[in-house]
Amino acid sequence: MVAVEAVVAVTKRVTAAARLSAAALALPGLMPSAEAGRVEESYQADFQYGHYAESDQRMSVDIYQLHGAVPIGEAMTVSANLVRDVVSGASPMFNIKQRDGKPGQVLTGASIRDQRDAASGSLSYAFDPVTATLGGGYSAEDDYISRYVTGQLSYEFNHKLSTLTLAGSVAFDQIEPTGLNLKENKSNQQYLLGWSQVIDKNTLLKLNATFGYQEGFLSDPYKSVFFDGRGLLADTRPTRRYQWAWLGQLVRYFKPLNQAAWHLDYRFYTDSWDIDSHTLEMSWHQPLFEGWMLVPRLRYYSQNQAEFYQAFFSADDSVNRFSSDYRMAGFGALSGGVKLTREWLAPGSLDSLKLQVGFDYYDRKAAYQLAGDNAGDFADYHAYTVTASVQVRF
Amino acid sequence: MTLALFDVAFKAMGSPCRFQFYAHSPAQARNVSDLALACVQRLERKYSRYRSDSLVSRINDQAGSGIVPIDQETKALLEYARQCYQESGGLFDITSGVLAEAFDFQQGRVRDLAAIDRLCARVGFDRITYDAGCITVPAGMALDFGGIVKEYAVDTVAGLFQQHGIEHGLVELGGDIRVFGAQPDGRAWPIAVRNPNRPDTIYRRIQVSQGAVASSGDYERFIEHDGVRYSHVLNPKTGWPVSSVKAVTVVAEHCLVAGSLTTIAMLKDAAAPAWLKAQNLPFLCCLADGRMVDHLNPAINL
Repeated sequence: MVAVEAVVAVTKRVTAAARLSAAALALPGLMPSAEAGRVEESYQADFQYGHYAESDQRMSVDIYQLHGAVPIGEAMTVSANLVRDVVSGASPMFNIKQRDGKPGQVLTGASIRDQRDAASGSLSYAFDPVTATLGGGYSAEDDYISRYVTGQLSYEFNHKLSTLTLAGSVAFDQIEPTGLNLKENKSNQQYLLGWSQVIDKNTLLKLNATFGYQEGFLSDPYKSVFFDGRGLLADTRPTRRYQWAWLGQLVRYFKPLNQAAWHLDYRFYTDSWDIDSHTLEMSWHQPLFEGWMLVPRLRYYSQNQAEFYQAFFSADDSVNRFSSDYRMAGFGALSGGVKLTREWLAPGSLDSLKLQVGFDYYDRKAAYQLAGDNAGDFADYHAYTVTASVQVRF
Repeated sequence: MTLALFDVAFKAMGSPCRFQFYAHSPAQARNVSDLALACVQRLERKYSRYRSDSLVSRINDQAGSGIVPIDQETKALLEYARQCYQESGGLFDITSGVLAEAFDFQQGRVRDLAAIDRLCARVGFDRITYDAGCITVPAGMALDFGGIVKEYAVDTVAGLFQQHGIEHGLVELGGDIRVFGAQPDGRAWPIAVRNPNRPDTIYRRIQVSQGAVASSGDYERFIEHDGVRYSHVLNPKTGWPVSSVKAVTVVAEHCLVAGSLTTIAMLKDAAAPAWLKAQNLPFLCCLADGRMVDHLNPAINL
């Protein structure tokens, strides 16, 4: 009896006004403007330049990126992307055992210069409430060719407050390292299941799960492994890798603070090489005045080492999988940055013009790792990235 | 580039209307207000009872003789009207317009007392049949979207402004208002609520930075019969206008909902204040004797 009364009390609290509000949201003029990406309604062109530089005159990369999107009719959008990366500088090759017994890094010469060119395109078609996107890409450098196709379906329901996304991609890569008589292949498949939910007018929650499977030559042909007393052997990793990741993102808007938004992301990753990682990221999107926006960002990352990683090995280690690549090590990283954007609406005959500059600082330290199974601080480094971009819609 | 205030006044749907908003340039303001105006005119052309070429007139002309194709927007409006019909226990009925034939609101008198019962037989939303593609209205009946479309237009136009990058402004069509963003300096927009007892004066100003204010009342259109003052809001069950409530104002997120709530409240007659209180929204209810039930908060932030 008590339970019945409680139920009656709860149903009573849903007012006629609330039910009418829900019914009103089904009207075409009143649909809430969904956060999730809709097909572009105008032509768009972007150009971005970025410069990445590691400490101690190690690797630096110049990144040039051109993006364009063209609407075709009401439901279709074609977009294309061109990217050129120019890499130069030294990178770690292997570690040796120093006289004090600790590992030390040996770098390649500083003269390495490599250029990667990539082109990709996609076509998306919205047949309300579903949007389908098909895409593909090709990227080439002297010693590496990659081809991939992607597909994505997203379905909006619950008055467009909920979006379900299914996506998949397959890549086929060819590796022909310079100076080595080697021709190898690898493939990479990635699948994503995502759910995004508008919780109330100030809160958006996104959850997604990804699964990846890589097969083939997964070693790095430019890295070697030092076996104390035996010499150098080529980096040798398993030929399969299964990866799982879960991401949760919360976006909260603060109307009284000029529509500022707070983004909080957490990602957990684990793979069949025994690497687990945690990523926590926070950013604050603060519209200032007259189209200015400031976005500070902080990120923490921690991973433990792969099961076949050691800084170096001893002659009597009987292992058939081994790597001393610093990316397979246990480490943590703190990074932070800030982006400043100025947007002009309807300048001249354009719909909008947007300029953006950004700065990011990245600090990798073995000591930042959550639970320390790291091999020491010999591979620590820091890096910064500066970016500048211009976007026009017309 | 700074924001400047633009104020566009015009007449539509038989009422004075106004857009007030901040834009970056006169060109941007012109562009978006032209679109908004075209949107209001489109809805008026489509749903006005007073235009012989409107979709509503075509549906009513075909009453009893055929089916008329309808589009998705009309279907959605009918669905919303059905929800109002259900929420009000059959009081809010878009087929009740024929009852007005018994009254002469211009002259403020009952035209034909004997006709009221006959007219009641021609009212009943549940006798309309429609699906996603077409509608059938029985002979003698007629649809009137008058109590819905103006408010729907207010919300639609407010959405249009926002989609075109206008973040501070309000839309007012014949006294029904939707605010879509405070003024650029953060101040809310002052919205004047008329005094139903003295319609030329302001009862009070409320501060709104987001949300809608809609009113329903007998300000100009009412009749007197046997010493009782009746509003123009007709009860489909009795065929008579309501007499306990002079006017209602409701503040809600959407103008459409605020407007429907004011109409349903009027139809609830003596039960209006209690029913409004249960909706948990700011409201003002002026009773027939001039007493005010004032539940408007000083500052409203929906």
